[in-house]
Amino acid sequence: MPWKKLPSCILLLLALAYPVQSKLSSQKDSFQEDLLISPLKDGKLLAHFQFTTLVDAGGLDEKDGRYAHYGLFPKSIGQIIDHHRVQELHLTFTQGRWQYEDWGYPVAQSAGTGVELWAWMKLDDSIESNWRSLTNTLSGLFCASLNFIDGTLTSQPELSFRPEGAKNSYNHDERMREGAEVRYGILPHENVCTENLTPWIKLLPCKSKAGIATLLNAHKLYDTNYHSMAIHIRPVCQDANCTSQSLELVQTVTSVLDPVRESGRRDWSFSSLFGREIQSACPVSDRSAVTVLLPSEQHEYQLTPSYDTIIERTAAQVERPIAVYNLSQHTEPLNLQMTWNEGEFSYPLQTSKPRVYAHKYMTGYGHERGGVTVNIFNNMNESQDISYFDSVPWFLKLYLHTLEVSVLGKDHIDQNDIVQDLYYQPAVDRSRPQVLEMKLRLPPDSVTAVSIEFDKVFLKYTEHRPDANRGFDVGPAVITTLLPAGDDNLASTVLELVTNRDTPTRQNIKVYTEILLASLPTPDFSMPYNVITLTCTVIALFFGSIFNLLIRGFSVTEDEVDEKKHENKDEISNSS
Amino acid sequence: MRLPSLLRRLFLFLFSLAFLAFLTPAANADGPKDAEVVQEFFSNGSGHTNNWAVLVCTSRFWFNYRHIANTLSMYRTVKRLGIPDSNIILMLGDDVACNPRNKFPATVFNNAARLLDLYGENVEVDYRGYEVTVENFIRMLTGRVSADTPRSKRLLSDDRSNILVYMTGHGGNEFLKFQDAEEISAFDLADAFRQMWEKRRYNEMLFMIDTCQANTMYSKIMSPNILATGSSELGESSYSHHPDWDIGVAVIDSYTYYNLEFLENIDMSSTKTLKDLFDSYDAEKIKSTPGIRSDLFRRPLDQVRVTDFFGSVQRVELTPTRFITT
Repeated sequence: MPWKKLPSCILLLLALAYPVQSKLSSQKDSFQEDLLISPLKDGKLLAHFQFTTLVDAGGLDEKDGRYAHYGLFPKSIGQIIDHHRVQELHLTFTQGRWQYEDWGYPVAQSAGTGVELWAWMKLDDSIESNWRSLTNTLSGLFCASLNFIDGTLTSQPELSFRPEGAKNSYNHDERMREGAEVRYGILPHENVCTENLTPWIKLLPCKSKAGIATLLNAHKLYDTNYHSMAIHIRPVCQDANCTSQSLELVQTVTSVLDPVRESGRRDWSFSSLFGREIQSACPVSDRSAVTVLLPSEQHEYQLTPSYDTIIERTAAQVERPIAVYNLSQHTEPLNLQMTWNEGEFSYPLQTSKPRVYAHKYMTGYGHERGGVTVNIFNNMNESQDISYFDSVPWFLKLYLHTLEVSVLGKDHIDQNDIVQDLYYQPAVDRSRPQVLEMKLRLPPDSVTAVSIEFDKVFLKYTEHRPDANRGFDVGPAVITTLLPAGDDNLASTVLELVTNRDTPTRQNIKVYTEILLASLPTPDFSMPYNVITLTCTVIALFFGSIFNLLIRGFSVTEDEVDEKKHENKDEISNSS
Repeated sequence: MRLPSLLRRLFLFLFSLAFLAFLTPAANADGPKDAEVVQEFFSNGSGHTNNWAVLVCTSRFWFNYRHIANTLSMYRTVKRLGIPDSNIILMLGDDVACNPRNKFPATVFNNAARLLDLYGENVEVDYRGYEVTVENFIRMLTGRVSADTPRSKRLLSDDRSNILVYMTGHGGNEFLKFQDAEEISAFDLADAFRQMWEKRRYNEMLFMIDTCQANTMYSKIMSPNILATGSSELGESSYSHHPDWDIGVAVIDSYTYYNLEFLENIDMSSTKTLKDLFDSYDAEKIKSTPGIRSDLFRRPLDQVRVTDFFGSVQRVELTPTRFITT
């Protein structure tokens, strides 16, 4: 009996499955995984993981503009950006400091130490509550204290942090501003550890079970000189006219490893760096490749196994050959190995300075006032336009009249020739930070110093952190500039080259300075107890004895009962 | 005009007939027999349907490594015994795993042999660092959190939840320090549990605390169905078990160490009871006198399985007939 029904069952199933199938296939999800390895000049090794998920924005539900179906794009992220009306989102977890002087510029948009979040959000009445809710939701998702990015740490940059989506590129600066606003917040003292990596890996379609992500071993990743983990979500154009858009999720892990530390040699392999090998490509990936940026001299090293393709100086800017391993063609596990033909690595005597970089430091002494100075270096023979951004917490009260922009050693250059534009937002105590933004034109081959002074606010007893004597961390200053491809941003040029993206003629580069530690005047936290103890002592000794003296009656005891009674009566009337 | 009204009556009649036909078996099924079955199912044992764990390390700073190791050991245990990450609220006062002082990055060990990395590859810390405050702890327990609080930071328990509350840190007579900056008192804790009871946020609770003078912390609890145990009596200190000289600090506390020694031999099918666990306590070995308070608890301890609190073992009973809920 049941067998008779079977064909009709299949028919029914097919009929049910058909529309679902077509719905899913109409949505073009794509996933690419890339690993870029580049030996750095000081013997370190840059390993940059990049996972790109693209989803057709045409998959938007007509009714409410929300994604109804999720394929490779993680649902948890999709729901968050839908619910909070986020256009573009950048969240970075970083530990260590990127050494611009030794390593050039980082591959992807790297951020300052700590956790940085900035998002372009639809401008409506609920944008503030959306931002607050977004920080809380992301804090739950990524196990980080992002909920501490409240009003006191949130700023709205006017000149920096422009949208990076293709629709709203730098060239369309005005158009993108319509109906959206940016929110920026950074937690410089936020730790980054396995609990942040765990949810990050869960966003990948293959998790860390297959593909390049198998190399993401927390034990090795957090044993590095620098690591930065990020998610970037932005809308991108599918064609030149931008008639249709996609939503792009780029997940990156940038780490700087030090093979020299263990052996004194620069040799490395996947198993020595990560304790693992790549077993296979992620099956759902459209592209799965390991790219090695090779040294320019071929006799210096051996690379095993041999590469699938090599790109020799295709782009005018890239002087070094690039080896590419296409993982989808590999049947055996890949344990890439590079051996250098040298005994011990000798550190280079001179660093190769990038074109624009900056350092930030505190000036002054004591707990009452201080200052902060940012030195911006321009090593080019031409002047360079940059945007300067600094968000200073309210408890360091900046004085705008002390702002000074000068070029070291060139006193004849007027401040007004350097500062093209200035935006300053004063702080409101306990509710918003100061924001100082400038458009600067750096003179050729110069060091420009931006300095400003501040007063340190005496915080309330309860406003201090549990480890108050450590001080408060102050976020980095951010320098944004457009630079053409060059030796110092080689890695990002290569990555764009191998991923077949349109390489823009000029790259938007962000330089993050050091974060600072401001020590504020800390009260003696045992003071309340001292006060209580002292007050009790005063009451017991002084007030007690006086009170005692005042109310106690003194009398000479005598044998006669009558006299005593008489005296007592007198005394009572006196004392009352 | 007449025809539609006739039709309507007919429909009404048919509908009421169908309605009656629908109700009749349901009413039958809801008879005393099935209610008894359900009652028996829940009364047999603890009556819980889900498990939650709140694991709190209140200490900051590197030298309190052992408190984080204590808490993470408990985290591994309850996870191993079946409580998923979504039902575990883990609070860690500091990050020792990726602390620059840690010689073994991204690891936390609870034994000098360093055989088991407690941090592992998959860990979800819900409250960390500065978020570990008395206010956040009490808000989380009592459910009085802001609307923006994500699910991972909420205790979404109900009146069928068995909750394990494990706390460790530095404490004293009737208080436990949070991050060297504030304290929670035994009264605060008792009040929070009382509020949880009033809000029907738990079915049964096991409160476990490893700190100096720990037994004073549960002395003020007055809500029903709470079983409490602590590491040391009033006036007694709780001691660490042993140091790891490569890490440079003590790695676990004595009381937690001997609890784990027992729990390591438990799996999800174990029938060991809490009485077995409490009987295994040896004041000589622990170097303090562990306390047990069971006067608020309604079940005899030799009938309370360890997995009622430390694990999530679902009781499934297959009935021969279909059970219809109303």
